[in-house]
Amino acid sequence: MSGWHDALVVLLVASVLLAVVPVLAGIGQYLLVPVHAFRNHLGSAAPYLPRVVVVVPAWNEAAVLAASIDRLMALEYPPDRLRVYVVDDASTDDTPAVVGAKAAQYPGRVVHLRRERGGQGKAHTLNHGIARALADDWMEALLIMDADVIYRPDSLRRMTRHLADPSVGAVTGFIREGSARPGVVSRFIGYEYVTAQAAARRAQNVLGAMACLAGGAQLHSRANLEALGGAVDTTTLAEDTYSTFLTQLDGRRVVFDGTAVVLAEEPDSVRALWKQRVRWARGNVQITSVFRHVWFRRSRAHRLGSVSFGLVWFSVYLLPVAMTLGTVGLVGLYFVSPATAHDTFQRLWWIALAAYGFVTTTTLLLDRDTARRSWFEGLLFPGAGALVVMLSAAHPALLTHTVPGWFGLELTPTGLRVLTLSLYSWSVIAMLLGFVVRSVEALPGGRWLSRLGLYVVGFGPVLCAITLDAYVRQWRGQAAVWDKTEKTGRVMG
Amino acid sequence: MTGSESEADARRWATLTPEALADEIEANRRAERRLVTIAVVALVVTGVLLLLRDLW
Repeated sequence: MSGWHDALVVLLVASVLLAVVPVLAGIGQYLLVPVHAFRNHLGSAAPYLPRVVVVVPAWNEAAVLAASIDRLMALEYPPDRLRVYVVDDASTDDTPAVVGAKAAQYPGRVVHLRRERGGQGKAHTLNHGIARALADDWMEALLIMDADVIYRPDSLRRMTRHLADPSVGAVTGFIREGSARPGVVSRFIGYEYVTAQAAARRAQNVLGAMACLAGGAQLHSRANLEALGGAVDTTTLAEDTYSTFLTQLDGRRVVFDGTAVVLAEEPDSVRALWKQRVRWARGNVQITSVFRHVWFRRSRAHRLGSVSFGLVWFSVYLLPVAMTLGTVGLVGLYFVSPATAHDTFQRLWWIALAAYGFVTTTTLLLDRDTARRSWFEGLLFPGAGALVVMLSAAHPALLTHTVPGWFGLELTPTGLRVLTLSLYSWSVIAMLLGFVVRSVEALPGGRWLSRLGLYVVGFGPVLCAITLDAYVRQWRGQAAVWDKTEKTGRVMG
Repeated sequence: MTGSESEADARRWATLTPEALADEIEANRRAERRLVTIAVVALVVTGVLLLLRDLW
């Protein structure tokens, strides 16, 4: 009996330890950020201004295209080395007229390519433009961007300089959330982009393995595009990640330049965010499966198979599973060995507190423009609920005695049990509350409540909920549709 | 242009001469070294946070 009990305790503690792996992987990635100070690709970069074709996929983008094209024409880049191909995917709004006017304003530099039968998705639209760019010898590098992003004047040349190194196949920049009047969701995304790009991609530069070229800022050398078959993948929802992997598997490097800044307007509603991220997460499921032969298998040609990159990838991919394992472990321990549960809970949240302090401070200092807009969302990224759990892990009496005492109350044994189990389960509760935050938004007056919920539940747990939803949809075999994220064209600058 | 770059530098780099572009690369390379300072500050903040947790 005692043997079974001990084995069960070990199993449950192991379950909690597995939940810590993504946290440690996150800390590990952040510890690589300062290494980028000395180990980056700028040492191998050189002045290089190749002839660039910019491919802009557009489906009903009339509201945003004019500003994007004007900004491209104002890039600090030799005008005779820059052409813009707008691929109009059978738009039904004023897109043809807008692009036509810009083509007339910038003759020979802006080209309108019209697909009369569209609706096949972004990848097909891109391939139409790529095929045209490869049809003659003029193009030396090709930039794939989104119709609504705004390139800073210096951004393109800061990307092309890395292509002076022939071992580099593709370069990506830093997509910064740049809405002129960002709401709560946009500000959370702004902060998240610093963690996921400015920090994580610097770490991936150091590791020598890049997870993804940002969809709105992918610069490919001609040689790389030709090696990829002259087209991007059309079979998954993540054509950008697919190209990133193929480039590296073929032995060419993918580089991130954090000083090449591109501004994008991101969704400002939980429902729009949900739609966008479900697509991304389903794309990642497809990529994980398509490249299953790559994971944790070392190769001389690339670093995608390294243990470190595998940990980075699967820590994000399996985060909902890890959170669930942590909860199952703690709740299980509560019933079979309450003292072990208590100790494990305290240690677990000690690590979480250390990660929170290091990651939040680094992120806020890494991009001060975003920090000025999103510092509050940065502090509450894990959610006010998680911060309370961290506090109560450090001071168990806080919620069990101190706070009830302020109101002259005392917890009953049942109340204490419910509270303890809630604290142990918080990561799963927060993830489930993420679904509530989305549903509430659609109710009358729910937008305000949903924003409040976002601060309490946290943006991180909501992203986990979205990932979970994406996995379920993928598992059920739901049709993979390319849903467009609606934009208004209100990007600052 | 990022916060650490001056207007004069930005104007010079925008001339796109090989010298200006090489100078921009070198300036960006030097600017990356601030990552070390950021990490040190972050470690100190984390240490203080953990210390406060124990003291409180």
